[in-house]
Amino acid sequence: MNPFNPHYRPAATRREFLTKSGAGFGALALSHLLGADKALASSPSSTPLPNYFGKAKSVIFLFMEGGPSHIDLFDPKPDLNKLAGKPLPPSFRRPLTAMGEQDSPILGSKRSWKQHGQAGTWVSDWLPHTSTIVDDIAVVRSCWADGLNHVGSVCQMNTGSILAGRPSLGAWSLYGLGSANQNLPAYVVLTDSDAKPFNGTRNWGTGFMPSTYQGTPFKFGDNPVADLTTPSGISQQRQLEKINYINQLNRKHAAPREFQSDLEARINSYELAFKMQSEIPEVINIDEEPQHIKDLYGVGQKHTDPIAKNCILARRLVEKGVRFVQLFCGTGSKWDAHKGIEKNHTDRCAESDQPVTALINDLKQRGLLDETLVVWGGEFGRTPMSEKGDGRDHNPWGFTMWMAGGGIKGGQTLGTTDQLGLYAIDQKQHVHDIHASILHAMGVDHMALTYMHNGTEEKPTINQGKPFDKLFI
Amino acid sequence: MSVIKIYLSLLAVLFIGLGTAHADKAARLKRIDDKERAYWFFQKLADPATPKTNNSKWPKNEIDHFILAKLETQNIQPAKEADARTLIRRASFDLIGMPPSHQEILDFEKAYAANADTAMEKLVDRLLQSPHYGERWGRHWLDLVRYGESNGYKADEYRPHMWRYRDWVIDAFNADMPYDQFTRYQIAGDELAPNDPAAITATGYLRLWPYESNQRDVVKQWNGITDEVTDITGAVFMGLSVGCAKCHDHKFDPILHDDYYRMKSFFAGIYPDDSIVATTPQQKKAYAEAMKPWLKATAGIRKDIDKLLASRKAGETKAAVKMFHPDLQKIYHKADKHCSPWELQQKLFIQRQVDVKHKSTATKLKGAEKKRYAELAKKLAQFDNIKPAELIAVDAIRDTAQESPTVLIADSDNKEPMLPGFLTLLDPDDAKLSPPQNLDHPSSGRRSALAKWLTRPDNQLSTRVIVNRLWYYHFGQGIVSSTNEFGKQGLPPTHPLLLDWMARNFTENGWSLKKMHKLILTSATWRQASLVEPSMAAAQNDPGNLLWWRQNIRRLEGESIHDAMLASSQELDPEMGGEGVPESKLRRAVYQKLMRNPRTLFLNTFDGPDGFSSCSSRDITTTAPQALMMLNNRFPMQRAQTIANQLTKSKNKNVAPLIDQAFETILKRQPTSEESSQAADFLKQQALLVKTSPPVKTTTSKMVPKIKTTPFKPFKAKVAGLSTQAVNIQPDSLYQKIELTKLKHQENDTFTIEAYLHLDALYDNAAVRTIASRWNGNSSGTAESYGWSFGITSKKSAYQPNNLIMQFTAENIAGNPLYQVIASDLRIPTQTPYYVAAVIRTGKNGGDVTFYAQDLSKKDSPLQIVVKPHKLVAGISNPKRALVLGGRDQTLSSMFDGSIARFTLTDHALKTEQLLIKGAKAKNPLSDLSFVKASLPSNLVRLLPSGPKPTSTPADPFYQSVVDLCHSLLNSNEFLYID
Repeated sequence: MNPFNPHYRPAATRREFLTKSGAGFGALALSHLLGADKALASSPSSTPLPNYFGKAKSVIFLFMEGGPSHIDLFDPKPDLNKLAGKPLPPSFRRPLTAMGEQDSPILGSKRSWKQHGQAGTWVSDWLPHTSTIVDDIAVVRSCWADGLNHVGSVCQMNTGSILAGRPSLGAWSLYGLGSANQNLPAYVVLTDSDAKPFNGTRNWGTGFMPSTYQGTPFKFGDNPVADLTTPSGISQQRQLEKINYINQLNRKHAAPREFQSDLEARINSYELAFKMQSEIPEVINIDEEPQHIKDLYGVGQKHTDPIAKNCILARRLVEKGVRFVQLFCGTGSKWDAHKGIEKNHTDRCAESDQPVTALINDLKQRGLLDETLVVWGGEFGRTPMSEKGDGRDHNPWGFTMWMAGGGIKGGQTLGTTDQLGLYAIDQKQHVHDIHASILHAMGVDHMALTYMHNGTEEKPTINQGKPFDKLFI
Repeated sequence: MSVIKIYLSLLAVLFIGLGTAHADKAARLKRIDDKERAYWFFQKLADPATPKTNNSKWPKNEIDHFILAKLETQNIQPAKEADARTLIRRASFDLIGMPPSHQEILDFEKAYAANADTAMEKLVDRLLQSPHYGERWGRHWLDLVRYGESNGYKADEYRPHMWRYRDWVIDAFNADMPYDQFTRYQIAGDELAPNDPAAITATGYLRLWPYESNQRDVVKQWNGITDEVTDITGAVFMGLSVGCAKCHDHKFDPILHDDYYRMKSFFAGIYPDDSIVATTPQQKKAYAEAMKPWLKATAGIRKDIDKLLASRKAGETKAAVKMFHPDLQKIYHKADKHCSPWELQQKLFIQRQVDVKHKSTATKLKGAEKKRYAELAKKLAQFDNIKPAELIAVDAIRDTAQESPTVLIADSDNKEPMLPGFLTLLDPDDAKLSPPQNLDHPSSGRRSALAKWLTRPDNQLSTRVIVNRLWYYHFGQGIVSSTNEFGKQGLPPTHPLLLDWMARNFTENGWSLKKMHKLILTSATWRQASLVEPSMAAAQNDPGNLLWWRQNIRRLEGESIHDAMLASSQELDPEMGGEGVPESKLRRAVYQKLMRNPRTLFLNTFDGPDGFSSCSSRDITTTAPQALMMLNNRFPMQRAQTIANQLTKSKNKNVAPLIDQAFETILKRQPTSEESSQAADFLKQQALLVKTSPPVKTTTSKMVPKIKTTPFKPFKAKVAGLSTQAVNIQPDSLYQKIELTKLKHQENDTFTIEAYLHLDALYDNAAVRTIASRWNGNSSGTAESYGWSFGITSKKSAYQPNNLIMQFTAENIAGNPLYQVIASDLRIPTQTPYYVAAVIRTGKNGGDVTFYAQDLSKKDSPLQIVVKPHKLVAGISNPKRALVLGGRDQTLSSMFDGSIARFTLTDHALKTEQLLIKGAKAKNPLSDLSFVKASLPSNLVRLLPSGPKPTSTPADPFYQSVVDLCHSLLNSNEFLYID
């Protein structure tokens, strides 16, 4: 164990150190994580996992912040309308809900439902575009989480714990897999408005891990990375010469201190910084996309424009080898339909349905879907009970997410909730299971990836969860 | 009756507790085996003799004997002593977190040459005497206790009193408060020294948990908080991850599942009472006495106000309480005297959510009630002059009652209440409690028992943990390198006997941290050079330098980088203490306002702690975003510009002395001749580039950086029509003024200006803090210089400071240009949210200005109104000048320094009742800017970035090249690392 930093083993060579610093743990972790045999052996799965492990090179997590209503989108419950206006039947265990709506009457669903695709996946009329790609996606109706409020639940969906202080899933994936592009941050966070997601930076933070692995938020339509632009009045060449001079000073300083490897890493970081200054503006320049692609996603249309741009950007980042893209849709809890769910969800779906569908189709036509895992979902679903007459409260006990690409077997619907969609009852998938599945798709065994912190061997899913074998091809 | 009842129930609890504890003590002891018992950390402190060494010349004190003895067993020679310059730089950053000045280095080198040991001792004494010592070491402590000045979670509300704990920590370090007292005060200051305000403030340690202000499940919330306090205390004071025993016996250490709850039981009774004040009993008494006349005089008015608000408040209470689980609602409605301590705790957290609703009750009144309230408020305000100043409020803790809530093991079949106790391994009995008497509130004495146990000189846990921390901060590596984890999951000590010797020496010397610092810093071990080639033996036997055959090279922490830059540019404001300041203020980083989200620039970029869990060692990452910040952020650039301004003052373009000076100022040394010639080449090249390669406008024009805002917080949660954010308009903000463009049309000479603002600071001279203007500041009286300006006077103004004024240059009745200052004599204090307005009426024979001002920080402050005449008849609204918020057109003088939450300009004279402050809607204003969601309508404004105030013109290639040189030196590893 490395005496300088008790978290991971020391770099044997300076070159190895450079692989580690700034750009992730890289090949180091891979070597012992990717051995499929070992991973299978240590996997807690009761049945052996299929011979498909680690096809996803990147993840795009489409995070519907605020909690979309699964029972109005993917999980039809005819009994909702039968029992509308009545309280939960006595057979139901009364949950403690966020706004105290456990005894409020059931709210019927105004949706019309149809089965789509070859698989016959149920999708409501709120998602006409998504219904065209159901054969590429696996719908999981039996998700559940621990949090009741947004803070805890958003925190858990991003970091595994409802309490602040743990590294995000993206950070774990960087720690495990490193970066495939040395000119870009390997973990990028996109928001669809000026609003801030609940918990802010902690959703993509590193908790107790070094900040090397943290997500880099790009602000939409703005200066995407802090301090990315050379101060006004300074030419690129002057900036470059300055960096050269700084590195000249630093090399001279490092020469007699050869054993101190971070001095060299800092020299490297200035060069990377300069590359990022030119690479990031290029990758974010979605104007250069052809018109038919912009139209596919809905760029320039009133409702879809922000998420359309983000989805295109996500694809461009993934094409450049970015490992993890966290894309907030409805940033600032806009799916949180405590009242007026009709208008709220009509709007949210109109904003996201087309761009999200386009993303799957576009990845597919470029041959990227196989190596890109796309995950869709919120921090929880919504209750069958009404709130304020025409809204729904938070439901962490049962909700729907879907995944596509990256080794996911499309065209299937897995897991079930009870007759009203309140509790997941069959093939329950806790957030830890979902995270284990995402890591599994990337070829990372969630029980083998460890990080020493304050004397504890920390793991991404807090020693719990297991990948959902049925999800995978 | 109820007292007896409580007493009886207490007895019952004690009885049950004693009975079971006795029975299960044996069972508990059985769960620890001999091997676990033998683990080094739980052994008593050894009392080792100073080891003998072959080399008798090298050791300077006992520490060196321990170190050298071990080195000799490995045939490793210690490194030579570092040179004087390295020693003073290392000692300065270690002890005060800032670099020595160039002169201090020269003086030390001289003294060191005369007598190295004496010079070293004097240096350490001087640094330990510096008040900057507390700022540096206090910050280490704040890392450990996860200090933050806000609640965390989404709302992340600011805690306006938390900084008093930070100041207490800094003061305690500076005063060399014995560490045992330092510990006792934080854990149980309220019980152990109830009459000492400092001890009360110190219990702020028990208030540092994140708090979710709208969490309805308060039972779970309480449980989480007491768990968290238990975990943090285990880590910080005992070096043990007790949290692992929350769900089961600790997997690696002999910490039983029960032990966790025994520990937790010490904190079960805490009550975070927001009414606690840090004052002596005398002060409290005097205050109560002084309040009497006010209470008497205002009793009727206050009663009337209460009556007026009663029904509304009752409704709000009902709505708020309804959000909670029915069982909690029942508790809420129970009278306090019938509540158990546990119920009182739940009630407190429910009450907090109710209180939030009540904050804005008065603002919701309508019609006659509203009027009546305003009258009453005004009446009440008339007695402000006899109201004594408030006592010092602190975030502190007390106990709920003498009896503490029952602690049960979570999710366990064992339903026995867990009584406070220490680790079974060390002391299987329940802790002996002696509840303190004569406190304002009854108290359980539980925390005192823990505090006393932790500070026993023979406590092998707490004493080892603190001396190891000192070692860690001085060497960048602990004797136990996992400084928060001494259990098996950590690493074993490299020098167990040295650790024990130091722990004993520490307690024998009165738990003095400063004495221990001196011992360490004057040791030969610490004074070793870091820059040495490892010998063959060292390379083979100890490549990681675990045995200390040299010093370690260390990178500065974020705060030190920040402070060192300010020290180099000589801009550091040395003021100590007080409420946290915005990052734009050039104070030491430890005084920056520390919200949990988001973090400050330097903490965020350079591995600062997150404020949510104990940070016992900062990460040292090396990332590209750090390089981007250092290269492109305004902060380092401005420091470089300030230094360049100083260097280029002489106008002497001979570069050699300038380069010498740049190196001295920033790196505190002379350049070598090679460095000097390289720097000269660099200057030449950069100057040439300034001339020949103009900045290319690529994608940069598309990237509009965000404006910066701060919360705007009047006393009321909400002022109608006002967002909670105010845009920062100040010289050190991203933008220092805002030009308002695309008005429907320009205002006439009769118009109204309104603003909600917060002025941070005045100028030291007579310049004006301009709120808004259409003027270039020229009072010479040509038609070119016509215009108006609305602002606040500064310290040396002829109109006295803080005066709300209008300035005009326009045409008088004779058709001549006239410069006129209209002073309202309304005083706008700094650091206070205010509403201000001016209605300018202009007619054929002159006109008047009606000034309005209202203090928004206090409830019921009146709207002040003053009317003053002016002599101007035309030309006030000069079409050649831009309308500028926070400054003037075409000049960088008389800038605003603060934040503005809303601004309106209306092209006619509004009557009093039409003003925003009267709740009126802005009717057809020419401009109405409020700062929702930190964004401004970009089609309506032009943000004017602040620039440096160079002595040379910005385009001056030579000046620019000097900026580049200084900027590069500030970016260099030599600046960021200590040898």
